[in-house]
Amino acid sequence: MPVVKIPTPLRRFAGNRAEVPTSGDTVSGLVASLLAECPQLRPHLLGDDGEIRNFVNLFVNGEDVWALSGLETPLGDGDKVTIVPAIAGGTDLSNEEIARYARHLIMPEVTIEGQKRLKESSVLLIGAGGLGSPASLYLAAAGVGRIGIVDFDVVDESNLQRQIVHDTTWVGKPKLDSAKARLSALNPHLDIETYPTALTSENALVIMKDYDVVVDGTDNFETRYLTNDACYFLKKPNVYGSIFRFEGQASVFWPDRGPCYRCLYPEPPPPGMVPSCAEGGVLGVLPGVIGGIQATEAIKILLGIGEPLVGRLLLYDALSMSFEQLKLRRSPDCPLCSSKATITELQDYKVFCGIDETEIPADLEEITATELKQRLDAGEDLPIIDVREPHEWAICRIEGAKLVPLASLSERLHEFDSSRTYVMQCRSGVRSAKAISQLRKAGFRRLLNLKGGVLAWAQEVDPSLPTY
Amino acid sequence: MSAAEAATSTVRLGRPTLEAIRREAGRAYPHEGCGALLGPATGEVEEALPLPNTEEQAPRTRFVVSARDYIAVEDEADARGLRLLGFWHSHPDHPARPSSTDRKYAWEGLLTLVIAVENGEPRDITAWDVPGPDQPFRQLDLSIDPT
Repeated sequence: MPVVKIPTPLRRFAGNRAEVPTSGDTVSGLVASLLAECPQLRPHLLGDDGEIRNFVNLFVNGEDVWALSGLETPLGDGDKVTIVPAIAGGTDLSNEEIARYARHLIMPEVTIEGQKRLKESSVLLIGAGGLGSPASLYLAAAGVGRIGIVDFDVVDESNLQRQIVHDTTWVGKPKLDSAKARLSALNPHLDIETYPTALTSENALVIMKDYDVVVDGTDNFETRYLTNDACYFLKKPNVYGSIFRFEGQASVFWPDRGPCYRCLYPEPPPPGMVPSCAEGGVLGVLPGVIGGIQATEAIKILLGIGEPLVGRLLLYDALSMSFEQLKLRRSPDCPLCSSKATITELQDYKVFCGIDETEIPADLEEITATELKQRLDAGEDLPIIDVREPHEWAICRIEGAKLVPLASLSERLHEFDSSRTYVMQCRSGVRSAKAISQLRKAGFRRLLNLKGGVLAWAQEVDPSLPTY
Repeated sequence: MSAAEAATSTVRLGRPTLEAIRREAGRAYPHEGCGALLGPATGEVEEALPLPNTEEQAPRTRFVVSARDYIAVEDEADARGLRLLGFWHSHPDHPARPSSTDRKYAWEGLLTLVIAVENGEPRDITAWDVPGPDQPFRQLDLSIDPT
């Protein structure tokens, strides 16, 4: 004869017994015989429809009946059936949260259920810069419960023209501290998690794995490819955005649902070919548009509404004020997400910030700003060649330097005298190193690179110079 | 259980048991933590056993005690001559008041303890039961014994 174990809260409806012997050769037979014996149990075990209530589970000898043959599970002598009440609960939105999200709650596409889903959701932002600023502000305002940010930079004055999550009081301090303070002030109901590190092949999977959606707000190809590859391996939607000067792009790379970044660009571009924002400039409001689109897509994905920007590349041109869409397809030859994939694990790239180290001579001779100043003051003949662009020259320059933009260098070799020693200079020392490489090919040997460029000069020699 | 017992409106909790709940609730943060309450008689909590929150989708706003854990803890109570009095759970960054979700799952005859956890720090704790079908939660007095 099978025995049924009665759970504590129902024992008072079973004569305060923990176990009741029953008859019945199936589970449903047993339930019928139990209810005949203890009729007070009926409303607690069965719903109005006469079926077992959702809140009641039945186990036979420690196995869930639904993993066996359900109510038809056969029973024999000595079998033990356990009635298990569902024990669960949770929080609702608080009154303050309901007031805060009121404009969401009244939309049928969101409602209180969607708002709870946002609260349960998590988004990881790669970068707290131009794109990460507006994206993080809107995600926090919208009530995405957990927001992670990866960044290792400090707030620079030149960031404030577009990186609106930071403000003047945070210059010189870590971007993560600044962003966390701002986002927590905007919405105290959230968890803001910060990762003060560069994203690497070592840490990318570990950091990303606990997030629902990744928002790519990087400014360099190394991190962009790493983000794309890691999202693919983890099957996380990657909300991509990029900005340059007046133009922006956005898409959603969602593994198995559409193409990935490598379907579009299989490998990083030749180093140095694509200038970074630090080199090419960016309209301050541009990341507001693209970062806003990224936040929109992240929220749509989390809510499961609308058409995500999957398989489409959105192109935005601020000057002509136009949006365009390109259809993107999964590439049958994609090195990452196709059947011909060759990439099976994360890899690091030598390319960083668009700088090609191979273009920079290994045996580069450098001079510091301080040393240059001393040698000039001592009367040494050290002509300075500034290889920046004229509009950069207009911002600041080292007195006495001559402007020869890098692009025009090859046509102006006749202006150089191979018997003199030249100091090559740019903003930070990268382009001037490339210039040295070109000049060496043309036969010049006496060349010094100003370490840190005009920025170092402003820091070490002439603090009155504005920097950019 | 006698009618007099059922009407008991004070829950007695030993200081070490309270500390155990506070510690586990803080440890679970930002997820909801949960556990079982065992004692010799209604309203006398002698032991708080932590249980894993098996909610996978939304552990920050939901808790679920698995059926297997329920069976194990009830078997343990029965074996030790104790009673499974109810369950505690935490509300991360939320007041120590039971929610509508809590009510939906509440069982008559089981005690509900709710502890608020703010930024990982355990705060208020309150005790509740459901006096009858379709009735709202009733708050119970919580008395902390020093031992």
